[in-house]
Amino acid sequence: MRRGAATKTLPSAEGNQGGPLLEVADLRTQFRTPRGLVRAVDGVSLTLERGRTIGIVGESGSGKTVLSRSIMGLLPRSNTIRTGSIRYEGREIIDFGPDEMRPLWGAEMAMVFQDPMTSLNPVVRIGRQITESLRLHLNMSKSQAEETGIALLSSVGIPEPAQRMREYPHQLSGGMRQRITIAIALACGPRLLMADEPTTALDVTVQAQILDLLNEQQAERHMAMVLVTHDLGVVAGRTDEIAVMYGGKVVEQAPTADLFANVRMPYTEALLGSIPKIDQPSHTRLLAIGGRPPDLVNPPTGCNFAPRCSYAQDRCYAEEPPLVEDTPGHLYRCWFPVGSEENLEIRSRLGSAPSPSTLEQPEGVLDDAEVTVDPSAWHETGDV
Amino acid sequence: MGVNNLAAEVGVIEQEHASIIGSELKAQGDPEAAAALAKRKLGLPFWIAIGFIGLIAFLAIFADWLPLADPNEQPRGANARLEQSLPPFSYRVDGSMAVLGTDSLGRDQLARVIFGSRVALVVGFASITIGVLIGGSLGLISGYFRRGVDTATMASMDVLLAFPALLLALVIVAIRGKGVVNSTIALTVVAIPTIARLVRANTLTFSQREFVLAARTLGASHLRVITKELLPNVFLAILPFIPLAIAVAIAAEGALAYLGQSVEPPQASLGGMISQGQPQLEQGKWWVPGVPIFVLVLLLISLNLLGDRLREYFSIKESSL
Amino acid sequence: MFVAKKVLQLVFVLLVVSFLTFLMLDQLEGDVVDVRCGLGCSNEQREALRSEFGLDDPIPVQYGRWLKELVVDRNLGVSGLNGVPVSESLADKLPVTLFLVVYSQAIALTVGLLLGMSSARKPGGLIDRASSAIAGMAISVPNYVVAFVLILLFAVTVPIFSVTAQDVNIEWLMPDVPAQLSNLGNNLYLLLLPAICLALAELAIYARLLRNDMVATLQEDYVTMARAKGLPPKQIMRRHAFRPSTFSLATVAGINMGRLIGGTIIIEAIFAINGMGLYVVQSINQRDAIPLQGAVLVIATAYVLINFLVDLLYAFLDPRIRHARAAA
Repeated sequence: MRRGAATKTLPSAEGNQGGPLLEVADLRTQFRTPRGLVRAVDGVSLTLERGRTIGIVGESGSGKTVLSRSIMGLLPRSNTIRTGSIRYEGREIIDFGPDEMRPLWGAEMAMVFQDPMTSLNPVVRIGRQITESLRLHLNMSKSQAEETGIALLSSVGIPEPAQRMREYPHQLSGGMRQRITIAIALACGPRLLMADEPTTALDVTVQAQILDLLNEQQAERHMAMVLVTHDLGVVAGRTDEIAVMYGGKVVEQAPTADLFANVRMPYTEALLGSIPKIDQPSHTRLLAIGGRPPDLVNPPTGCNFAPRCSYAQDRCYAEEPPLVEDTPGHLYRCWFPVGSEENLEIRSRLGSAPSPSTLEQPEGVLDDAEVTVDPSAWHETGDV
Repeated sequence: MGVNNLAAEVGVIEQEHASIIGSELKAQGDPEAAAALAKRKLGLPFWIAIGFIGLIAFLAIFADWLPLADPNEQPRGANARLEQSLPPFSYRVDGSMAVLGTDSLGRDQLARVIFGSRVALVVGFASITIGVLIGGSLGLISGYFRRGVDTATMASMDVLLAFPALLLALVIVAIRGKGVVNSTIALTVVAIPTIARLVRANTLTFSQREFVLAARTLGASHLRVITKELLPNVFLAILPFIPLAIAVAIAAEGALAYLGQSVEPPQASLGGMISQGQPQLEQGKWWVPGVPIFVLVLLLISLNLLGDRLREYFSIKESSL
Repeated sequence: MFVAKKVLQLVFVLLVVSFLTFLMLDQLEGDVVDVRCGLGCSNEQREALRSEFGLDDPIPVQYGRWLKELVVDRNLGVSGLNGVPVSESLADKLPVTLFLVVYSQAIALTVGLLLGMSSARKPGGLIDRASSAIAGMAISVPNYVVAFVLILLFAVTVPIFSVTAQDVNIEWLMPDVPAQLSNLGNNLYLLLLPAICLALAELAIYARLLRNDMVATLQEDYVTMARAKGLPPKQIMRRHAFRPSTFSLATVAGINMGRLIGGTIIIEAIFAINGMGLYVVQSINQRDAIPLQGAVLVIATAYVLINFLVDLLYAFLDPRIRHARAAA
């Protein structure tokens, strides 16, 4: 019944088959905190076609997690301000309250969280956690839901699924748990999957398996996916498009192949420099990005990244660069983009250092710590 | 090499101390600002509570020298009945005013409530002070040494906790007899296990801190570590709970007295006055038990408020360090 | 294994508690002789009484005899005052006190849960701030003060309740259902004021505890995940947020049973309820040691048993503990 309601309230489901699945335009998400207004997402625009994957990449505090939750409408409403436009299947959903979003949540758009330790309820059996959305959205009977649940678990590669249904999350390994959260997210056949750092909390050996599973399921179901990560390596082979975020803004966006072939934004270049490469001799020093992410309450004037950018000029501290289009579909936000004449000149002046960024002691900047929004902003989830 | 590491560690600790002292000095440098800060953080209700407790304490201490009526004197003769259960601010037959009225025997409620508060305060403060001394020592020792000492101490505390507190206190008074001293002993015994557990828990945390580990590695004796390193920190941590514990002890003394197991009549106690006033309450003369209840409740709320504000104040201070 | 270990612990604690009870009240034994004799006893008569009560034997022998009597014959001795067997009196009075404790705990849990959950839904909201203020008051005011206020309001000013509840009559085996129900209804009515007095402070503690735990739980990822599934708020509260928020509540509710039992002593005295509490107070006033011993033993045993059950309940609520302990 709820499923029926969901499709009926969304006439676009049939009427807008040709348009993109998700269109985000100039989305701004701000938190009211005692320190002031935190501009966690600051004017982001994205378009996602059906069945495609977009990677959102950025370090801790870049606003990528807030962006994904903001699109889903999952942030606490009491201290959050959202403006801009989010169109799902052609329909504007930014003004939707929890009551209006509920038919979409789980059924149309689903989410996989970072840490399966904390995203599965420790005191509820796995079977119930997976069947509850089936029963709610697809109106299944108990036994139908049970059967579907077992089928889902085996489709995400869980051995002895019938047995697992009766177990509690703490009885499984981290990788198995993440497979289960994926099965839960996929349960009602959503058209859009938000995967928020789905592998960060897992052992390295399991990470590739989980990513492969996501890709495989996505292809099978013709589902669109937003893959949020701090690791460019994760999105390299698995996305159609990549948006690099910094300080709540998209600083570079391009089709995946294009981005890696033709980096324009110094920040992206720095991120690439911080990934270990197989062809480097062993004991090569990894390049870290010095400094800290910008303060989102009082962002610096000019370019957000300037204080940490080794090419930064006076202009960078004075004026904010706009998001400009390079080749079709490739956007960046920089006055002196990598590969440009000016950039080459700065580089030669700097003494042709191979490093785009300041060489410093690796600081935990690229760690998997979560968004550095003031924690009090997450309190008071009044509108569960 | 080990010595070097240790020296470095001690150096770090000294720096920490220095920075803490430094921040204190900074606060001292601007006494007005510091005082304003402290006052604003503790708030007006805190000072009202302090004021009320201070007033009651003052009256209780100097009761013998104050121009009060004799708390045990009953009016006699033909007019005796006219002077019983008077409401506050009424006049006796001789034209004197009974500010807080009289009880069912015509005794002056103001005098009785002050002498009753004296019992409550003495028992409350004494039992918790002794309880903190004994329970605190037990907690410190078992939290510091752990192992067998800890197991044995905590097991005996658990046995004491197996009896409901009021029941245990009643039985102790029943064995030892009534009176201020025995009520204090009873409430001390009841308070010890809780205080010991609280102190032990805090000792366990502080024992793991660097400054304690460093002191131990430097060869400080157990006694020194406990008294110089642990005691000041643990005491500060449990300080906000002391007013709360005193409030509980005063309420318990009231319960004992209500049940006739505190001081011997005719000596006044708040609980005894409440108990004697119950028949008057049932006849609608609510002010007779109302006066001691009012004083008792204000005292308890003040103590609770004191404890709560202290706890908040200290947690703010700690988080800002 | 887990249960077996717990049972062993339980038996040990019960033995220690019974010995302590025996020892404490042994101090009062001499007074039994005084009570029996009054003023006119010769020394020979006193000696005869002492040996009649077995007071000349060493303490462990006396304890052993007492324990054997207790366990084998379920005999707690007779009142030194009127010769009524203690077990008989306790059989009359224990149900009354149990009824009162369960009644007030039920009130405290129901109202506490409702208040705590509605406060947690909007932290800092009107309900939250109001319940926080009321809780602060309720925790600092002792139950006998509450009793006086309630008596003044609902038994004196507006006399809808009786000042005393001495007519409480717990009957387990009534001939027919209507009689049983009317008996139950009458008891619930008579004990309402006393139960509220006992429940008030507990209720305030439960509400604050649940509220704080629930606010923390509602920030957990699994609650966001449940929201992302599209579950309605009621279902999220009931199925995902409620149980993980009740762990400390369950522990505290168990521990507080002891406070409640302690509280019944004074509340029964105020309302003249014919239960264990009043029995204890009367025994103390009459310096009648054997009934006091029996009552203290029963109350302490009940308290220890309740804590044992709370431990088991805790394991039931949190499967992680259940499995960790089973594995260990």
